[in-house]
Amino acid sequence: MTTTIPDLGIDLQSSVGILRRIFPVALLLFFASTSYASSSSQTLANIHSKGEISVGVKTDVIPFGMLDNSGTPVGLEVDLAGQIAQKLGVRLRAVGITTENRFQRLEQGSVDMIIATAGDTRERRELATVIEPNYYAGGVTVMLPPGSQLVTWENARMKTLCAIQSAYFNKPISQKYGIKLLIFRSLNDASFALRDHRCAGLLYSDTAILNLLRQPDWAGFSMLHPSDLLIPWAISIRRSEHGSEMERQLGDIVADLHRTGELLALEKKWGLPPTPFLADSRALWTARLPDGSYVCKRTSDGNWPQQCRNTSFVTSQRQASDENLSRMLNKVPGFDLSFLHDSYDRQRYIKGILLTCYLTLLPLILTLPLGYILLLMLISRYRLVRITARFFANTGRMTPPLLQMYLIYFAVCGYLASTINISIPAFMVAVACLTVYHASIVSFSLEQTLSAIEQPHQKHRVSLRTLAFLLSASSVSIRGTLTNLAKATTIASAIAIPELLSVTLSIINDQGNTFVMMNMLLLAFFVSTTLWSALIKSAENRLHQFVRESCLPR
Amino acid sequence: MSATMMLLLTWTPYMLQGFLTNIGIASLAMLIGTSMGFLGERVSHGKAWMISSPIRGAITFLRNTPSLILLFYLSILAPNEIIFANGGWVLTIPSWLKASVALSASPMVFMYWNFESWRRRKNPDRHIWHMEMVNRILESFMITMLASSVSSLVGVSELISRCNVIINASSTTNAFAIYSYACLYFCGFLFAIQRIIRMLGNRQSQSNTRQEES
Repeated sequence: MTTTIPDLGIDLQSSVGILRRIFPVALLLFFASTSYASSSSQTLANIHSKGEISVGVKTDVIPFGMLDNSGTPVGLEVDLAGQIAQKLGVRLRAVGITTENRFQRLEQGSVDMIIATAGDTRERRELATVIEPNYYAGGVTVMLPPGSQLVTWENARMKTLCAIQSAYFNKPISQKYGIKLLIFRSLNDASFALRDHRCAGLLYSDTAILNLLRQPDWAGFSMLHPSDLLIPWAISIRRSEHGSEMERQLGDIVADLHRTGELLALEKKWGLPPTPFLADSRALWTARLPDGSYVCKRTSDGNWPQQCRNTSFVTSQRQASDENLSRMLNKVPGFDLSFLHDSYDRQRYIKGILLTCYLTLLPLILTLPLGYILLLMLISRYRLVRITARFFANTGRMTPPLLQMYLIYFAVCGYLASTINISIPAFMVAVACLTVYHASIVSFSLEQTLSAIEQPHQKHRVSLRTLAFLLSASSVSIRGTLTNLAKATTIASAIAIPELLSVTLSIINDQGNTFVMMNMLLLAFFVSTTLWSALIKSAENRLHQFVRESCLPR
Repeated sequence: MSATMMLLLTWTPYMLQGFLTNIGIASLAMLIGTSMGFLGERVSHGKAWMISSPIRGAITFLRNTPSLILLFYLSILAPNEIIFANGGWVLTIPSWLKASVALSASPMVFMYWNFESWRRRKNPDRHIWHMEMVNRILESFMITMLASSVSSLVGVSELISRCNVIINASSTTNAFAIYSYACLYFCGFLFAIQRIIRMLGNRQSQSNTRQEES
């Protein structure tokens, strides 16, 4: 990008003069910044003055970080934290953290360092200072049901796999192998779907799958070998510690742990299968030059040599022009709209919007006819029909739509799939549940109106005119119900329908552009609900007009 | 006793605790929503454009935004904890509190319009107004109670969330029984509230009739 000086109103002569004067100072600063000496570390000074280092560790990832019977964190990463504390000559205070709050806790200063199964990605390098070398690596694999025909990753091409919302590897794996993903909110939901044969396998981290396969519930299940998308895990310290003495000391300690084989020993101690990453790392960090010194030793700038560093971060493939545009957009705070320039993200976002529209439109069309049918059943002359309709409509409106979807999708459809091999699409389940819930409410509104305008036991005439008259008379409550329907479609994301909420969360997981995506989501739903409300209101006005013209006596 | 019945019986206290969480979330949401709706109406009524229009704008925005979106918005963007005194004191914001705040939007809008429509009446009778308000609050509570189930999607350990835990811990073959049992909790509780609303409605119509006769 070029800028013309006259546009900025700068005098060229004086500018050259200023540049001449500041050039030697800039040169001095440049060499000072690239010299070997790392800056002092405030955190390290605090650690030594307290005699204690607080390390954030996971408590829900067996065997890396978990709680023992007394509630104390234990695991491979806790042991690693202990070894680092010992080498620093301080006590260890292990603090339980979660996936969601780990980087926040680090930045806010409640922990000095995190060792929490965090993959070393480009986005995380922007959030924190990552210690090199990496201490472990995890990959992605597929958990397979008994008798699965999937033997290689290539076999998985064009197949449907169950996946979990927060996984960073969903997008790259889906792009790499052309896999269709059914994305669920939690591991539990995805596991149900796998057992119900809704997908050919479960895409998840290899260490977690390995842990699941040890449990008797998953007897007969297996996993795809070898793991793909190996991503190294890293210890992180605060962003402000970049280039500090703390970063350098911790890097030296981890390098030493690779050299002495202590990390390999930890892997063995916690019963993990040997990962090629640790064996390769040990070979790399113990390799020596002909003069006897290590190949991986700090260079004059204080960094490790290029061949000893991790530069292979997991990011999606993009066009070069897209990258440039993304960088420009990223510079504007809160306006990281770069996902619109990524064809994969753009397509799934548009699909999400369309699916959300269909999810609203179909139940909107079906709710009124079903509501009217239920009303006819509620006032039927046959007692059994009346009782059945009342039971159905009451259950329909008093059961949360989310629970209805779980019941139908996981329990009823799961049973049908496993017994008679009939698979009902999640979209149909969502439409049915949203329709039943809102039609039940509509039926009672219509019944209330009917009882207010008709004499008891008066025979109700079934016709389009009477329906229009009833709808017109109870239009306020029905309009409210239909507007609520337009707002309720987001619940469908719970059963792996890639509507707008689901797609937004997936893009956030891949790109980390939380603020802008959540604001766009909020705005999108506000606009869509406003439009649907206007549409419903307009239909209501036409209905009133129709009733005035054709139903009321002139 | 069948194995399924035994399973349901065993986990009843656990599920009941989850359902109490639903009731707690919905009650807190109602408390926040009703008071904010009332305050919003009081503050905006008859005030200058500069004061009333931002409040009306906020009410319109909340009316047209799904609770689940607000829930995810708060859950993801609002901090999980606030750290004071350089990490010395950590104030944790639990996810159920975020759920209550997000779910309070709907009763807030509902109560705002109710208070406003009441104010527009020419000869408001305070007794009738109280009776009507109790009915409206109960109706709104029923809707909020149903909506509280979505808090399971952001990790609140309420009834549906606990159902999934039990199914995962036992077997998927129990899914139908457990989800149906959870339906019973909601239907039973909401049916009882509906009876109260009907009872209050009857009492109100009786009092109206008496007033007309006198």
